[in-house]
Amino acid sequence: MPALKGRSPRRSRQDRRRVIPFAPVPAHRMWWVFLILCFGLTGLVGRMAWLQVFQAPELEARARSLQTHRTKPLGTRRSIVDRTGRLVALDEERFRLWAHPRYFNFPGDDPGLIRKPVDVARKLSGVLALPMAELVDRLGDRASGVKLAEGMDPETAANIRQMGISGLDLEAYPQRVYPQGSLFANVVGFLNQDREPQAGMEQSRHQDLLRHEQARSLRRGADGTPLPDDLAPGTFYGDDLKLQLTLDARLQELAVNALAAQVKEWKAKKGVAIVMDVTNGELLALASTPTYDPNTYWKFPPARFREWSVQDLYEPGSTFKPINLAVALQEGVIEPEGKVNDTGSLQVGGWPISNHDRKGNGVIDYPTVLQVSSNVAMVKTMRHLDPSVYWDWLSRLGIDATPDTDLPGAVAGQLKSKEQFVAQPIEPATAAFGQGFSLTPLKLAQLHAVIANGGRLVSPHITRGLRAGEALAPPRAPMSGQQLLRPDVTRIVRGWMESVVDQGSGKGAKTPGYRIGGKTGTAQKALNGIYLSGAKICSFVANLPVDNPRFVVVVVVDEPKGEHAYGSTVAVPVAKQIIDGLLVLEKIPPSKNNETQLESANG
Amino acid sequence: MHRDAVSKELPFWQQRLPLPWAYWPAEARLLLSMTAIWCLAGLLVLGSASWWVATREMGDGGYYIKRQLVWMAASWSLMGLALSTNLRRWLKLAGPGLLIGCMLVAATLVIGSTVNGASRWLVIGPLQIQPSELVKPFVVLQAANLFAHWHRISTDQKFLWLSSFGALLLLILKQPNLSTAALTGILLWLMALAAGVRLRSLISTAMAGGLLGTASILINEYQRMRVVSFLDPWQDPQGSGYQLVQSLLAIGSGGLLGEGFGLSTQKLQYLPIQSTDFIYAVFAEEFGFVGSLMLLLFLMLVAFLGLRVALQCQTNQSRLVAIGCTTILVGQAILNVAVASGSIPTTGLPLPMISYGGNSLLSSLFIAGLLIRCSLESTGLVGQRSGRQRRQSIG
Repeated sequence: MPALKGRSPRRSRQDRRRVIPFAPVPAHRMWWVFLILCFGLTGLVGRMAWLQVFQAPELEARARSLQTHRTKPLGTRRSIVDRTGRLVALDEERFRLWAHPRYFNFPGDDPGLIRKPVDVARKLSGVLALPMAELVDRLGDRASGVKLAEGMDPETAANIRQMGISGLDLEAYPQRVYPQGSLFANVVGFLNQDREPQAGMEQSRHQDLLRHEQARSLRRGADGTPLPDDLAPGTFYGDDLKLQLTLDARLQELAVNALAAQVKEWKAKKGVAIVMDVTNGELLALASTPTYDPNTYWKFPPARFREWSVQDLYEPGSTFKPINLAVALQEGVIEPEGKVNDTGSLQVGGWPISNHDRKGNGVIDYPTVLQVSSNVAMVKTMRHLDPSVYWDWLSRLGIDATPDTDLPGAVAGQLKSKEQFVAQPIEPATAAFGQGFSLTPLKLAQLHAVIANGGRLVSPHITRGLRAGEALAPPRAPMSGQQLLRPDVTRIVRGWMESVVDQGSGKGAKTPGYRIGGKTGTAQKALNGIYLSGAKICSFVANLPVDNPRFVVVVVVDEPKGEHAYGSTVAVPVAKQIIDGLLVLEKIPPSKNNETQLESANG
Repeated sequence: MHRDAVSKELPFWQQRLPLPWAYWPAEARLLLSMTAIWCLAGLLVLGSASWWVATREMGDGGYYIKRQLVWMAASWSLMGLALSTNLRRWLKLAGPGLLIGCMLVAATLVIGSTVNGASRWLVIGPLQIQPSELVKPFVVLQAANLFAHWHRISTDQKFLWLSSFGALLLLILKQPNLSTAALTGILLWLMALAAGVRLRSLISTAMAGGLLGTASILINEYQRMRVVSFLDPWQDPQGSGYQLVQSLLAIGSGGLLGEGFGLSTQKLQYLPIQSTDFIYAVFAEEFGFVGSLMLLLFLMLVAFLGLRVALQCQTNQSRLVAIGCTTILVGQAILNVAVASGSIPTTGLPLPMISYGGNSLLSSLFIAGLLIRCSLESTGLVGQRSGRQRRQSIG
């Protein structure tokens, strides 16, 4: 170590002129420098301790809240698809565009620069297809939180996102869309602006339609890359389940069009057409008119939002006669080959009862009873059945019970009490030709399915269940339902119904090559127990093919106006169009081979 | 002499050394090893800090690391040169080096490439040259020349070189690069302090420098914004306070023990310029307070070794070079950490040996080489005397 001397000597003016002696740099000054550096380092240790020990929890919490992206459930709903997978209702992603002018900055700009609203409006007006002036007007001089656009489709949103403009915020939200328009409105219902279900299945199956969503909290990089640590199990689970209907959009459309045309022609109040698979209760069509467009539901009277075919009761009239005959056969009170004397009119308990044309048909067999739809013959036939047993049958068929169905708002029919039914002879007499009690068109379809499927009471339904991805439900559910009537009884009644189409009032539904059974009905409308004159309900029920029935078609038209408004003139043409479509869509082979060949040979 | 005598028996790695390893003072050995450790640790920290961003922006996670390795090799060669060259030669080169440096800094103002409003780089082919970095070793050397015999040199000499330093500082301020200017100013002041310049003139110079800095802050909008946002970064965490807020969040979320190497979240593009100016924030987040403390203690050890080297030096020049090199290395690290932790209001300084950047590496390792050279020459076995003897024996 060289000898280190103290401070450099003070110099005077005279010192400068002479040679100044060599003065070693003082060692203590080195120490000063070192101590200054140490002072700085110690200060930093203190600062670090403050930041990383005392302030650490607060800073870390702030950092995590910045790094963690939380997604709230948007309340998306599952799609609804028809029998073949066509979309009936779906959620589409829409975007709201929010602007925060105090953060306006283009990519490549100096980070401190704040762009003027005009610059942003110029860039956006092309993409949004809005005039620039309007955008500038909307932005005004507000600092943030300006809603620029709503209902933007994902492509536009992607275009805007690609621009990378700071201070623009895209908020995604789901919107319920019904691509089939009014076609399924009566069944599916709709969501209002606040996405609350208001009608139909959207309301009745609300819980099933809610998609499984969870609030997700995900740590990620500033570019959005998710980080896999600290993730709760199932964070990325999402479902793509769909609710599948049994309805067929093609048949539904055909039915709606046919029905709407007929209702318009006859100036009727409303109409319904139901096509049901009798083997399992699936409804292939449930068309109702008038209806509404769920995409613009606010333009329609709220009365249309309820599906009357399952909620409104009516007296079925003549269409109930085959069911009565089946009950009588089942109880053994009539013989299949038996005959009954139709006198044209009779008195029951002081009340006059007559046929619709007030003419007698003489001694006729049961097929003829159905063909001419004789009220008198039906009353005489059903007299053989003890009223108490008869009432038990009506009750067993579920007239006064709420049908087991998934259709929203289905109601029970009305039936007189057993005491009244047994005590008043007029009650079983009117019930014999389908008056004096009421049911829904859906219930009538279910009861005719009993005849068609060999005696089983199947549950009418319109949903097949939730299906994942593109998969569809198996085409046919296993045979189900409670056995009420013997198959041989139903086969006999089906034969009688076939004769109605072949020779009787259902002739309009005749289709070459196919065996079709049916029964028309023209019932009087009752309000508070009093029959309204001139107010009729025209209906037609068909089952096909008769040898191995698969479908029941029910058409009911409420209050058609005109002289010749009967089931055969109002309801049968609609049913005929539906049957034609059904035969093609379901690829039902003709069964009357010989006759077809004969007809083609003749023609 | 020693070298010729023992070179044949020495292992290969020692043959290129200016002095056989056995004769190295403990300080020189420690400083060399610590520089190596510093560089290796720096590469690891840089790897962690830059990998994600490099993957996102360059398509290659190793983009920055590979370039840093190339620069590291060049810088260690330069350090080898500094180690094996006589300090007197460096001191002779200092004056011209400083003047050339001044001219290059001036050139950046005219033809420099501008990044974020500051023109600091000269682009020559694929190389980006930052003259304000490269001039640092020459500032140390020339300051040593000037202050070593402060009382003996003539007034015009003093005036020439002090005005050169002043011009350099003003040019760097003009870039604008307040932090490098401040570092250079502080360095000169501390070297003057070490040289034994009168305290009265030192204090008046410090006050003048402070006034200059204040004026610069008041005149330059961008610096004033920095200062304002430094005082309360949370006022505008998305705007002017953004960098500091992100850095504080990174440091704070490190906590006591850190997140662990490679596990910083803030480096995932939350933290800006995370591989240069704010690399310390990434380090602090990954290694926590324990890591920060280790780094600061490491720097204190470097400073202490530098002090010991300075005290052992036999000439005023080498003593001042040693203390100057120590000051610039440790001081720059202090400023960088202080900026990252929001202790002082400037930005734009690399952390020596750790931050990405070839200019900074070259400069820092050259300075480290000079410091070790001072230690070697303090033995009296190499340097001035041995050089003279060799020349005599050759002549």
